[in-house]
Amino acid sequence: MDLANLPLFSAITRKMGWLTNRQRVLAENVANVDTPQYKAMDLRPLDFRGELAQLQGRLQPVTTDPNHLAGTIPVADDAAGEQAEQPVERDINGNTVSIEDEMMKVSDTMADYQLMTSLYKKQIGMFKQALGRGSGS
Amino acid sequence: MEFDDTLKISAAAMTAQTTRLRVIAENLANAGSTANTPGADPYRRKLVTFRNMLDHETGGKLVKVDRVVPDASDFEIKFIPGHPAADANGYVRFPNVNPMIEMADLKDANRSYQANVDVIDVAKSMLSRAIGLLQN
Repeated sequence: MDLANLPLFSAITRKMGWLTNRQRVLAENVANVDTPQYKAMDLRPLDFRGELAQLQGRLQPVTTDPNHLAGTIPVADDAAGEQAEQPVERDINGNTVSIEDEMMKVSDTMADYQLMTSLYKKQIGMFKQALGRGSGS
Repeated sequence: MEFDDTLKISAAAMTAQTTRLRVIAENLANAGSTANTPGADPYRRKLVTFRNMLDHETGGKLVKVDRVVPDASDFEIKFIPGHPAADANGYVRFPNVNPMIEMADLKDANRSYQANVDVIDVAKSMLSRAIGLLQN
């Protein structure tokens, strides 16, 4: 059984990838809190519900021959682009990083990541229970 | 791996803040360092500037200390005729270090450092959550 083929697992994996990416961008912001002219960045938000609905609702046709046309469902690109944040405050040296905001986002990302790992564990636990091996933790 | 990049970015920022701290310590330590010979310049305050450098290995923007530049502001002048560094008129030039400003700068460096430590903490706990998925 390939877990990656299940819509929920695939969506969880994508969300975890996005959260990891976001953590890197936030680390960059915090690191550059004193760099002149630095603009705070953030990732475009990932729509988990939309992601899940898309994966569950429609099937992507498989291309088995190079002459086959690609499916009409666009494969969402993994690297959600970075964009400049709407500045909350601006230092006299042109820096737009607000450290409080960044720390809030860091802990937000962390909480979301925990949610995803818990969801993953829960699902695996349910599979295990269905297989009759131990209790689903 | 992304988590490694996060750690690298935060670590680079911590290194930069440490350099800043070193320069602040230097300024504070030399707040009273006058010259030895009459009319010579005393210790001149130093400043740290940061810059952003694209790291090709991680693709992230790392913070680096750009330059340590001297502060061009004027020296403090006091009238102490008996001082070894006093000029012909009896005036001694003292360093342009204001301990109050240095302390404020110190606090700022500390706060930035703390924020980076917190980011590393969070990244590490996220990583351990991911590893924890193996354990069930």
